[in-house]
Amino acid sequence: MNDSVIDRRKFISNLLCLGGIAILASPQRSLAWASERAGLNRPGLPLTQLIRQQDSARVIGQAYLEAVPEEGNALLLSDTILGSLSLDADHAAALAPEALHQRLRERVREDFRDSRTVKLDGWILSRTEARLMALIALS
Amino acid sequence: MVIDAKTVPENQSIETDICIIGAGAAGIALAKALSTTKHRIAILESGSFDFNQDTQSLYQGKNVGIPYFPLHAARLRFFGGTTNHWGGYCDPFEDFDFVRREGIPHTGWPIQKSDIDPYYSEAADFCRITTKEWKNAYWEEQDKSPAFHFEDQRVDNKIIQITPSTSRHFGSIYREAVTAAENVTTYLNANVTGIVSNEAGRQVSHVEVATLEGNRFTVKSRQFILAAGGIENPRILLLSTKRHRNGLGNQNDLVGRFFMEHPRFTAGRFYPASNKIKLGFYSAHKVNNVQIKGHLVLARKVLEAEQLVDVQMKLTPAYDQKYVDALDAKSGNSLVYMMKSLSHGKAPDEFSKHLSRVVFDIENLPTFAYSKYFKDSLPVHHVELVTRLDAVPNPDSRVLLSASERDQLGQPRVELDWRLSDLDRRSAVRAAEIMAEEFGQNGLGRLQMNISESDREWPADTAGGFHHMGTTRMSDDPKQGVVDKDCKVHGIANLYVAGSSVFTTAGSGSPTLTIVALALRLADHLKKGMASS
Ligand SMILES: Cc1cc2nc3c(=O)[nH]c(=O)nc-3n(C[C@H](O)[C@H](O)[C@H](O)COP(=O)(O)OP(=O)(O)OC[C@H]3O[C@@H](n4cnc5c(N)ncnc54)[C@H](O)[C@@H]3O)c2cc1C
Repeated sequence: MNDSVIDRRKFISNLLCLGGIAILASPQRSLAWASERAGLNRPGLPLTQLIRQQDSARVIGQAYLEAVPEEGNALLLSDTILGSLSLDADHAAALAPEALHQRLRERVREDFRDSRTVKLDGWILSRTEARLMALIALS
Repeated sequence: MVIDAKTVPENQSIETDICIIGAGAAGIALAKALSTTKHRIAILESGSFDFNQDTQSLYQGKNVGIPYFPLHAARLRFFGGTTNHWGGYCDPFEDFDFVRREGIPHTGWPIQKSDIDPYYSEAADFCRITTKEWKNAYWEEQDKSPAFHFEDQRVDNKIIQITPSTSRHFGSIYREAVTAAENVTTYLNANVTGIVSNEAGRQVSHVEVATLEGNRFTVKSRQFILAAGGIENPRILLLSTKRHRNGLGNQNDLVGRFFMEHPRFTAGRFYPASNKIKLGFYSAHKVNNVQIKGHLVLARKVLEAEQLVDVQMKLTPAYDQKYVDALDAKSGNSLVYMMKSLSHGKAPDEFSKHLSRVVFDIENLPTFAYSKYFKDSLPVHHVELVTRLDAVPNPDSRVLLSASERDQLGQPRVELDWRLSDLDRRSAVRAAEIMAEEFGQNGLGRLQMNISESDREWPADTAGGFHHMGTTRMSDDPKQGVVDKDCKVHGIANLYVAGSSVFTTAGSGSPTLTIVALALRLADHLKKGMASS
């Protein structure tokens, strides 16, 4: 097994182990998030702020981008994620962070329910959460 | 009565009505059930009442397939057989285990669960299982430890009961009952080396017996039952070449084939969302004074829809290393030992050694105490998903005779060529994927798989459950199986097989309860048959 695979495994296990389902940031993050709303013109920013452990997420995101290179575009990813939440960027910006967080959480669960999952280094992740991490990797 | 076979004169011919070869779970259950009849019963047991290294080494053999336990360690060769160290896990087979399954080759027994059902209750008594209740709902209601429930019901819970360790060794428990029965004679140190049929080849006339001391004799009987375990049953048939060149019952080259185990391995690691996750239901624990253990299983509807073999998943928590190390701390274990001794009014052995351990390692005691007494609520780091399969019956997975190795009696040793199939792998992969989806959907955590369909090897920790099945499988068709639905060898009028070698499929349960139930059924069959003849 090469080093990058081992590193990635370690990162993922740290991330998921510490956060579990809470890989989506807890609502307490909302203050920090709110102050960054102004950055909405940068694609995906409010979404990426929902992830707590950005370093680890970046590693998984990279793995996703390697597996699905055609999604390697921040705008596209952002739109795809928001689309899956039935939102556009304006609506997303208008939502309270807790509400966006809740929607994402539900979407992740639905992904698992409907087998919309991806396998990265053996990890089975919801496609939405994997895309979110890909977005971080691109940012 | 007990006779040491070493004292039987050379070339003597002993006569009996029913001859049972082997005194393990199956042989003892049969002998006990038949001891109430007027028939003379002879048990021919290779070992004595205790373990003996020379006798045990008759079990040596070679693994030539998937790496497996050393064959002389995977079973025991003395009175009581392998139950002298089995784990006591008991659960009956389900209806589903007996039916022909779409997409899974060689499935479908010639009997149904209802044919065995009348015997399960007595078998549970025999296995010292105190509660005949196997329904999950019952146990979940009684149990304080919660079980997982998944909304879309793709994964169910399954309960097994565990025979108390104090009443697990059938050799000790039933020694008195078997040896005191007037019509039962137990020959110890009696190794059956071959089964010989009459000239027409359709009726067994006698078996040949040898001791490690060198004397040989024969036993004639009206009925013979081979109950020497799932690897030795086919070996003895394959060694019986006096009138059948390829071995007795082997006219269709089936003896020894279809060897099945319950393969188990870590298929993945589950990282719970909360390290406070409650897993008590899935570890061995007592409910109403009965020891039980829960497993997760793929629901039948999933098995049918996706054409998978039965998959059971054991959840084994791994705690933070700090607590694992603490549990091993010598200081803590010494303290517990000293307190136990003192509470029994006994001075601890090696008092000063234990005391010095406690004194010099005193700073680790609080973590030890916490880890030991709050074991069920220790922070869980991750959970190993240990998967067990009801493996696909596979004719290439087999017990063979060695071409080069011989035992002390001059007979070819066994070779075990254990194999698994792509369908087994697919079933394990799908089970892990489905578990990952269920954990994710229910907000419980994430799973990392350790197995994939493109793997060529099985996971490094792949092992069996010491369950040796299928090598004289049951089928109505002599071209598909060695014994018929009454466990009688096809084409031979008076030779029966008992034990898990008759299993057509490995089944979802552990084998021994079903071995005993089938042995009791066979005893009934023999009683009826002999009464009418
Ligand atoms: C470590 C371990 C744990 C286990 N745990 C469980 C469990 O939890 N649940 C479960 O269901 N099963 C378990 N098993 C399997 C269980 O022990 C067997 O299913 C059961 O003992 C099989 O019964 P048997 O009578 O067919 O064979 P055995 O119990 O193996 O008895 C065979 C007998 O035949 C005798 N014999 C062999 N060859 C000859 C010969 N040539 N001549 C005369 N006598 C002969 C042997 O000496 C022995 O006494 C476990 C096994 C092991 C090793």
